[in-house]
Parts: sequence; C-alpha cells; structure tokens
Amino acid sequence: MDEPLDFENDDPLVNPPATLEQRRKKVIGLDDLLSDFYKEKSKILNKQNRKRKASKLYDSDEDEHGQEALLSKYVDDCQNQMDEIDGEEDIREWGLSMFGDQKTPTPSLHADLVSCCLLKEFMNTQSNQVVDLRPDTGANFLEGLLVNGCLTRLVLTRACAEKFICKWTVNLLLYSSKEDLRSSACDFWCSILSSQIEINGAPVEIDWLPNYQELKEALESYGFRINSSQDVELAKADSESQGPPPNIRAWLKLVAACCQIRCKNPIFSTSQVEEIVEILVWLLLDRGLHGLSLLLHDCLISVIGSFKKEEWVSSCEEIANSLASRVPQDINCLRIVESVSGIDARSKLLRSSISNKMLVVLLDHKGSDANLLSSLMSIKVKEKNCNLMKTYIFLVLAENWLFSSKLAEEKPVLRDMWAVFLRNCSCQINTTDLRPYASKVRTRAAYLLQGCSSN
Amino acid sequence: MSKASSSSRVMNSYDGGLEANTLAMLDSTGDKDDRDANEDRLMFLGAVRSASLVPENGIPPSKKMYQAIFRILRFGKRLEVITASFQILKQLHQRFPWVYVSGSASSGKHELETIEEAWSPFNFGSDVGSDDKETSVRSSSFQQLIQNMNKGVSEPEESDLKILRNMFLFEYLVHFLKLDFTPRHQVYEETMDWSLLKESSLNLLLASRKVNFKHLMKDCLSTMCALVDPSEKSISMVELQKGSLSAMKELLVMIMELDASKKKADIEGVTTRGDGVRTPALEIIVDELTYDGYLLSSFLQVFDNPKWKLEIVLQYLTKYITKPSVRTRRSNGPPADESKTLNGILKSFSNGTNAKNITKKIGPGIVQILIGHAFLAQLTFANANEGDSLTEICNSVISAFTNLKRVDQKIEILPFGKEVLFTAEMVLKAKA
Repeated sequence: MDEPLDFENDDPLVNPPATLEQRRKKVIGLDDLLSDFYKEKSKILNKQNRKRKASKLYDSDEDEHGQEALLSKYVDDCQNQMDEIDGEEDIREWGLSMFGDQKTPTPSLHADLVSCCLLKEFMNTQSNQVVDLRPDTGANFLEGLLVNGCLTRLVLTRACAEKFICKWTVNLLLYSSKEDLRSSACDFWCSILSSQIEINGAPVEIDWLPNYQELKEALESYGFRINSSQDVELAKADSESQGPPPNIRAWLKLVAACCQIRCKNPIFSTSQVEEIVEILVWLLLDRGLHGLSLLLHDCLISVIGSFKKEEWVSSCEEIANSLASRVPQDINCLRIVESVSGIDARSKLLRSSISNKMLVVLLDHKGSDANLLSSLMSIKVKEKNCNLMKTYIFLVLAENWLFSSKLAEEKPVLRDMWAVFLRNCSCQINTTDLRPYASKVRTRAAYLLQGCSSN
Repeated sequence: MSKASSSSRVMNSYDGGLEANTLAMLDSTGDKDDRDANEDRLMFLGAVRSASLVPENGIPPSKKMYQAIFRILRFGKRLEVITASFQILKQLHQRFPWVYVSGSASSGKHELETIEEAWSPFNFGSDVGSDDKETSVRSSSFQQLIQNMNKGVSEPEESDLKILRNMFLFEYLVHFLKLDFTPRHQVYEETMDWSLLKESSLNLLLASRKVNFKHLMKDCLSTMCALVDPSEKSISMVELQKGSLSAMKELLVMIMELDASKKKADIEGVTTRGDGVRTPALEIIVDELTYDGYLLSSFLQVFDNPKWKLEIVLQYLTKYITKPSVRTRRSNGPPADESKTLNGILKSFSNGTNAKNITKKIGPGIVQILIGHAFLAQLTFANANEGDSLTEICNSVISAFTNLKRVDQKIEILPFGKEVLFTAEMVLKAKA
C-alpha cells in the first residue's frame, strides 16, 4: 500500500500523459500526410480504372506522365514538411565523443621482478620456509600482497616505496585489465601520496614518481583525442566507439592525488596542470563517461586547487582561451561552462573566463566588455531568421561571465546593458513563438530579469 | 510563537516570490516528454545554484525547495538530473549546515549549534503531510532501500536506472546521516550530553519500531559483500558501486560509534527507558561472521576502518580464547585488558596446547584470516615512536603462524597467511 520506494508511478511530472502520442501526431502530421497521399493515389487509380473501362483505346502514356508529376509533387511536399518539422525538433543535447580506438598497452614489468628488493630481502629470511617464495612465484605473490592491502600497509609502515614497486603499481593502475589489481594499485598510490600531506604519520619516501608524459601516453592509449589539432567529434547515437577502458577511473584518481600534494611536491609543471584541467573538461563532455561525472568534478576541484595563488589568474586565461578555440559552436559550449562548479573563488574565475572567451569567439569580437554586451543587445530576436539557439547560448554564457565574477557588481553599466538584453529576450519573443529555443530563451531571460530587478 | 518566528525567518531568507518563480520551472502542465522535463529540472537546479551557491551571501533554499530537489533525486528519469540533484544537495549541505560545532579551539569548549526546523530527507514522525508522503524517506523505506540494493546488484533484470537511482539515494542518505551525526558525536565526546546523539537522525532512524535492527544489519553485511562482485560492468556501475560500498562502510562505523556512545551513556545513567534496548551492531556482526566463513573473509577484505575492524576481530577471538582463562585471571589479578589486545591474544598462540585448541575450535583457515586482518589493522595505529610494541607484535604474528605449522603439519598456510607473514617479517627488517 505504502510503497515509497517504488518510483515508477509516482511522478506526475515525468510520467508522460496519454495525450502525448496524439499531440505529437498533430504536430508531426507525417502519418496524416501519408494517408492523404495514399487516399489521393487510390482516387487516381480508381479514376484511371474507370477511364480504362470507358475507353479501351485510351492512350495512357500522357496521363501516366501527369501522374508521375503529381506523385513526385506529393513526395516533395512530404519531404518539405518533414524538414520543417525536423527543424522544430532540433534541440540537440550536449555530448562529444572524446575517445577513438584503444591502442595496445605496453608490455608489463614481470621480467624485471628480480630487481624487487622487497622480495629479494625476504627470500633470505627464516619465514620463507613457511612462505616458500621463489623467483618464479614472485609475481603472483606480489599481486596477492597488493590486492589484500598488505603491500600498502607495509610500505606505509616502512615509510619507503622502492622504485620497482612504484613502477610496477603504476603500470597495473594504468594498464591492468583486472579490476581488483588496478583499484588496489590506485588505493596504494592514493595512500602513499596522501601520506605526504598528513599531519601525523611519517611521509613515505617515494623513490619514483610517474611524470606527466607517462600519464598522457596512457590516456592516448585509451583512445583519447588529446591533440588540439584533432577536431573533437560530435557524439553519434549509433557510434561504435568503444570508449575508454575502465582504467580511466584509476587514472583520474591518480591525477587528483598527484595534484593534491602539489604544494609540497610539484609533480607537474604549471602548463601541464593547465592541460590537465582542459582534459578533465573535455572528459566531462563525453556522455560515455557520464557515470564518472562526480569523480571528474572532484578531480577538477583538486586540480584547480593545486595552482599557486600567483599562477591562477594567468593559468585561468590560458585554459579559457584554449578551450574556447577548440569547442564546437553548439550546445556543448554550455556544458563546458557548467562543468566548472563555480562555487569557490577559483572555479568562479574559471567559469567566468571560459564564458567570456567563448562569447568572444562566438561573436567574433575584439572589443571592450561593453561592446560585447552591446552586440548582444543588438540581436533582433523578433526577426524570423534570428538564430535562437545561438541567442540561448549567448544568454547563458553572458550570465555566467557577468555573475560568476564580480564584474556585474563593479560595473553597473554592464549590469544595465545586461538588463536590456534580458528584456529584449523576454518581451520580444511571443509565447506562441514556435521557433526552436524560443521558449527556452524567453523563460530563462524572464527568470533572470526578475533577479536583476529585485536587487 | 516559535513557529511564527521561524516562518518569518524563512520569508526573510528566501522571499516568497523567488521561491514561487523558481518552483514554477517544475510546474509543467504535463505535456512534455522526458527530455523537456529533464531540461526543466536542470534549469530549476541551475536557478537554485545561482541563488544559493554562487553569491557569497547566498540565500538558503526553503524547505519546499529542498524537497523539490530531493524529489528530483528520487524520481528523476535520467542519470543527468539525478547526478545533478545529488551534487547540489551535497553542496547545499556544505554551505548551509543544519548542525555544526561552534566555539573556539583555544577555550577548549565546543558547543553544538542546530538550526530549528531544518529540512531533512527523512520523516520519522507518524503523521505525514500528504505532499511529503512519497518523497520523504521513512525508517521502513530505508531498510527496504538496502534490501533493494542487494537485489539490484544480484539480479540483472532490474532496470539500470532503478539500480542507479537507489545507489545515489542510499549514498546521499548516508551522507546526510553523517553530516548530522559527526558534529553531535564530537560534542558528545566532550560533554557527555546524550540528548545530542539521542536527537541525531541516525538514532531516530534506528530507534523506530518499524526497523528490525538485526535484519537491517544482516542486509547491510550481505549488500556490502554483493557490492564487490567482480564481474564485468560498465565504468559508471563500477564507480557507483564503489560509492555505495564506502557509504555502507560509513553507515556501519556510525552505527557502531552510536552504540558505543550509548553504552557509555547507559553506564553514566543518563539514558532512560525511552531510549530502548537493542543488541549492539558489533555483536550482531560478529555473530553473523561466526556463522558464515565466506562472509567473514569477504567482509574483512572490504571493511577497512582499522579501529572497528580490530574491534570486530578481537571480539570474535575473545569468544573462543578468554573464556577458560577468565577464572584464573580473576583470582590472580593480572590486567584484565591483556586478553583483549591483539598482543595478548597472540601470546596465547605461543602455547602449543592453546594454539591447538583454538585452531580446532575456529578452524585453521579462519584463524589465519582473523589474525592477519587484526595485524594489518593494528599496523595502522603503529606509530613510528612505538617501535617496541611494533616489534613485539610482528614477532608474535610470526611465531603464531610458525606455531600453527608446528601444531599440525597438515595445516596449510593460506596465501593470505603467507602475505601477512611476509609483511610482519619485512616490517621487522625495516626496524632492525
């Protein structure tokens, strides 16, 4: 009776009402067109038959031509109407496919096992009578040690991680196809890295750290289109791209952990961290990774937090410019802006900069802030050929640009111009306007306008 | 009186017009498909974000607004909106805590601040407003949720969206419980004021007569072990399962902390009959693990809170070890605590007959698993300064394992046992 956890029937908002099919039919009308077409066709056929009956000497050639023309006219009409309807429905969702084909991973490190000091040292102890560790069983043993958490505990207690263990675990983390191995290796790295910044407990001496190049190579082997000269692809519904291997999770966690200790031990240079921010934003655009979006957001926060105070303003600019130059000029722009949380001071600045740079690119604009806004004000939303999707993008970008920073507070002129733009969008678009994005632009502008006037 | 003042506070913080306008975004007439409803919800969440989170002096959402966001989390039809509402709820709680610790560290006195009539995803009351009925989570539905998660993991025919939604919901609810519990627990530890914990959402949830606590704990354990199922899954599923798993661990730890605090309060005599009696979670867990060896090894593998892991294993072992020696100990008067530390227990293994008896009772495999995990947990607490005790414990582990072999040559040392032996030996080597 009272089944609060059974969601299926509960929500009136999302349960599409029964009328949906009928309404849709009315709008699309394709079925109507077709049935009309067939009705006409059968009428013609009937006529033709009657004529044939009436006159056996009838020369049908000419008439058939006429019918053909009529038929193709119907087909054309159908096509045109369909195109129109398509246009109406064409509200694309965000989504890029950031991954191409995976490459074969590099060979594993098993061959070097002899260089593992930990194993060598143990083989000389008395306990090895019970354990019976031999060079040929070393690899399996080490894996068990890692998966059961012994290795991590041991390294933390000894407070040192030898080179072999570091390289071996990074290799598993980035390339292993076994979930328990890669996630244990990931836990291992997160533990030894965070020991560097923990207040109590000795920091682990890490003999070898992965560098940016290695992490980048791994990402490339997952199929990531890393090069900015390669254009990103719009996601296709029927895309057969396999997406990244599950190692991407461990990759993200490793990157976040490396950045968290950056104040003490800068593993990446400033330009490399800038690149990582961009990579994370691109990853957030891939719908295939949507389930990782919370992880990606957390990672982004860690990475943004790892810049030095004095670096951030210029790095922010760099990142924004680079993203804006590569982004497709569609709804993905907005997803990029929204991927930056914009709640703390740093991400606010980034969100504002990205929005600004994208506006500049989209409006092909090289002037002052006021000029940027006056070109928004001059958009004629009433005119039929006005691209309302673009207007919607402008609206959201400008909102983020102005209000994720203190710009609107500091320059009341900009605020007033913004209000004019909002008024244009909310008042000049009629409620009955059926153009795509018309209602989206109008509602959003109306809502924002309220915020404007209430302050 | 208090009601009037609190409602006027709400009006000041979130003016009625803004609330209505924002909520209106969700007021579609129903002639929208999933995608449009999705868009509306995203726009609504965006509006909440820009009113409450973006400005430095953002205004806290009203209860109605919270409820609307929570509705999206519970009933959203697409991963995108579910994730977004999950995220924004967490951000809002961080920005506008409803319970927090105040007072300076220098004075050493902390106090608990609570916001009266704050919104909660839970409803423990008996009378429920009609509009809240399906959205708020009640004690019984929380239990049901955990059962459903277990089902969702093992039965592939459950719809993906439903599984995902349950996992997000569970993770969020535990997050909420933790934000509510942690500051209360902190101040309780200092002040011993039981009422702070008594009013915690966690305590209210568990105290409900609609929850069968024992079943709840059993469900937690089995769900936890089901969540580590290694079969092939999508990346999203793996990520979500890890999230649910760590939420489950947090829940267990919180419940055990609550039990321990309640026990303290009982001893102090500050609890009343109204607080009720229930078997502590720790005991239920140890009982469950005793019956099921498979559950034992997978639970100890997954559960990684060292304090409680050690506690669980010690409780398990003392059931078998201390009983015969209790009488003699009492009369001779050595420190009773000795038998309850890992070292004390390991010492009883150095005696051949003792080791033989215990191994016979518990089984040679289980003994290794228990000792191994207790040792690893103990290492977490081993401070570099306490070199002696560290050396001692490593030596005891090594001799316990070698003794097992000495007691009975046929006993096979498990791979995990060997790894533990290796660890103990190498810790010693580093100390030498």
